Amino acid sequence: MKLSDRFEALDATRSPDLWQSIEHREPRPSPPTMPGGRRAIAVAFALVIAASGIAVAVRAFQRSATQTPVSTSSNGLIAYVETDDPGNGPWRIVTIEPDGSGRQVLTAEPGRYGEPAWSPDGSRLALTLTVGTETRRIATISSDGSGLKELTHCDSPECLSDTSPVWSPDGSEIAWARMSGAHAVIPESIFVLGAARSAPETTLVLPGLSFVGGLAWSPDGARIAFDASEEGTKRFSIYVVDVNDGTVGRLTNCPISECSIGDLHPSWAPDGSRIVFARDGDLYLMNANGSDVRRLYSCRPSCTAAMEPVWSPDERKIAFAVQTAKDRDLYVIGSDGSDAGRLTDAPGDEFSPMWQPIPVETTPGATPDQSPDPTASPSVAVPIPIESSPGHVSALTYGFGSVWVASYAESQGGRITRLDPTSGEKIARISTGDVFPTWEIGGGGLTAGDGSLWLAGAAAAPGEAGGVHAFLVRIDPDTNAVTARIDLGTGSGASVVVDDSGVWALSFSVTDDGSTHMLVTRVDPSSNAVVATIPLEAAYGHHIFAVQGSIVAQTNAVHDETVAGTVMNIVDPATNTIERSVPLGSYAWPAADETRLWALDGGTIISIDPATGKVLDTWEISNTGDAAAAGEGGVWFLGPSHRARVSRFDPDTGGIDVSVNLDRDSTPIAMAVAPGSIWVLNYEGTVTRVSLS
Amino acid sequence: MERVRDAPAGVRRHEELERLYRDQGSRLWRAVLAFAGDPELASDAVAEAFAQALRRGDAIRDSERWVWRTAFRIAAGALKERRREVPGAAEEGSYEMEEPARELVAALAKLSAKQRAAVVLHHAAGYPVNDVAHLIGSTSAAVRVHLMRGRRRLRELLGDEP
Repeated sequence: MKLSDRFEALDATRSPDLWQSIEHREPRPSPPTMPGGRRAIAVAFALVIAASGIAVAVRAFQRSATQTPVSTSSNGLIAYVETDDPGNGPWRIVTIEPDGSGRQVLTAEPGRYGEPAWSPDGSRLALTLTVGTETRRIATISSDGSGLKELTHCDSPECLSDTSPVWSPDGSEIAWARMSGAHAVIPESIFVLGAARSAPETTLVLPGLSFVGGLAWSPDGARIAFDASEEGTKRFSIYVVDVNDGTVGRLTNCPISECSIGDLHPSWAPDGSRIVFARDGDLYLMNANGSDVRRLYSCRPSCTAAMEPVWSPDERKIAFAVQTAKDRDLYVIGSDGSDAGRLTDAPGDEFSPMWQPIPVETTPGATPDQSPDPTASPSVAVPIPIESSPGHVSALTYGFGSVWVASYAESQGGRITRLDPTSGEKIARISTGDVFPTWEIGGGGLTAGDGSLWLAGAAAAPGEAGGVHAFLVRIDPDTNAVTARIDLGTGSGASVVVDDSGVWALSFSVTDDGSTHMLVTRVDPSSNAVVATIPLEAAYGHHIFAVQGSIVAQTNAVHDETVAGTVMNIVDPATNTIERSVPLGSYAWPAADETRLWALDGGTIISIDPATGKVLDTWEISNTGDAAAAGEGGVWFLGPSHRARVSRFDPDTGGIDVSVNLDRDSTPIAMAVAPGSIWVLNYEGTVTRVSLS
Repeated sequence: MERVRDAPAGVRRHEELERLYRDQGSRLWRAVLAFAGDPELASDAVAEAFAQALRRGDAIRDSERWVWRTAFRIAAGALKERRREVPGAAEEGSYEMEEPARELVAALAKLSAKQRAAVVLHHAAGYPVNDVAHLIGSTSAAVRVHLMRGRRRLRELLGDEP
């Protein structure tokens, strides 16, 4: 079926006739305020939409054995396994709301998917996967079920099964247990690997133990709890292994006189102080060091067993599975063992629950209490107003020790505001006259280079009634004066960059027949003269980069009014031609640092050699959101998800190591990296400084 | 038509709005339903928007745009009040909807708010990209991106062909 067919079906839906009720309806006494002007109405609507999905928080994700953890998440969905035939049928990963509603199936048949484990940001699930006769292995999927990626290869007889995946608290690593074959080189072990890598980085060998499972990473990141039985016995105990030195310690040892099966499936309380686990069909609680073991909950004799307890992210509840003579269902209790309630009641089995963490909300500028190192905690300043009218800010950049913001006021034309990056104070306001900065996406229309600040914009064409030309405006940072105004021809500017070979502008160009295409224009900064133009086939693009002598223009195709796949067009400065065009296959937000190009495509980040267009590395992470900029320890982007948030991807670890939520009432549209701070341009006409120290 | 032109202003605006409702009320209701995923909420938002327009009379110059924007804004505000970042799937039973459309509404609920608004306003309401940009406070380029990503996500969720 096509989407268009579905919209046609929607169009066929019969609506109620409301007119009679409208005529007799008394409008609400406090009608929504409708500010004057078309743009203001749009902004009000945008803010309502934005406010419905934007949190305000500051949170740094850091892995450290010395970290003092606190609960930093609220409760999201519960993921679990569902099957109609536990022995032979497919196993599905399903999510429900904490009240049992909203069942959603995430995985497709055939296949047996098991042991779901949420990533710390709640965006992905690690799980086990078995298809046909293949051995069980570890994979990840997005929270909506898309983007299945297999992480491990488990081949018999060396490997019998990979089980029990778990994420590190910072989301950068995944650990799992391997059941080894009889003649395996590596005996029963826990493996740890970077979440975006393919080869294990750490192997924690567990001599003398078998049937290892139930992995639970401690909130401080230092230890992994698990269940296992001593070789030769069938009675399980809870153990912990130190992730850094591999030291194994035993937490429980239920006497054989009291336990037949023993202790299974540990789950850390979010504050790291206690562990809940299952003992012979009841739920037990103990301190993190194994002391003070006490029974928390029992459903026997009305059930066969309670099993697989998991703590809720807010620490207030525990979800678990209950086996009866008929089937297995999910239940939830308070963390004190009270108020047991059923979550599922399907005819088949539901088991292996895992609770999705959702980051907490705090106030803007707040420093997280759990941060082990205050100097590493970003802080968000109050947004600095640039323009009073929303939508009138266009681009920003850092250079010459200042942050520069391009904007316009309809009555006064274009202007650039110069800010002190330390104090946020406005140093200068520079008029660009009739040249209005043009903004597409990412705010790339402003750059610093060759001793000048350069603005890509548009102005009325000289001598052409109704015509518009793209322009470059050159500004001397010593005097804050406009020193040149360079006509690039019909169209409007999108982006500009400077390197030793000259000034390179990317603009929308309009041809005589009215069609549009992107145009790269080379300007000699010594004369401000256009020395070359390079037309591109694409009708849409918004960034041009200079990296290690390479000039790369990013374009997109447009199909059915929609932006399609990103293409990196590498310019040969020697011939002023396109040396090669590298399609990335899907829409990606581009960025560049001193050595590499970057492209962020939803859940994928790739680095690209700017000279050849060759993909150097690829990482799978959570949704990267919109717009990107590189520098200050990684690649920064607006997101993840659609929240007003700025995050940093660290290529050394393959994970997001900083994530800072911005002001609830801001709609971020672009960013720039300055030494020690990130600057975010907001649609509302403001700019926000995120201090990194 | 003559009757409308010759009538007193209040009556004229009333009849104009009724004609607008008869012409576009169903399309607006379906678009708000697709955005909010709740038929009761859609009915309330559409009725309130038209009731507000009736009260304001000639203070509104472009009734069509005003009613559309107001209905969507009321719906977005109601969703916010419910503290539901993403609305739930369409509820069963209270109205008739073909299964493909019901699945579509459920899938729309999984898009981000801006993606959902862009997709609904463009594909369900028929607004051109530039108008969608004005409505959701964005640029046409950004709306194109929202549309591209939104449609891709919908296809993934629904298993539809490209």
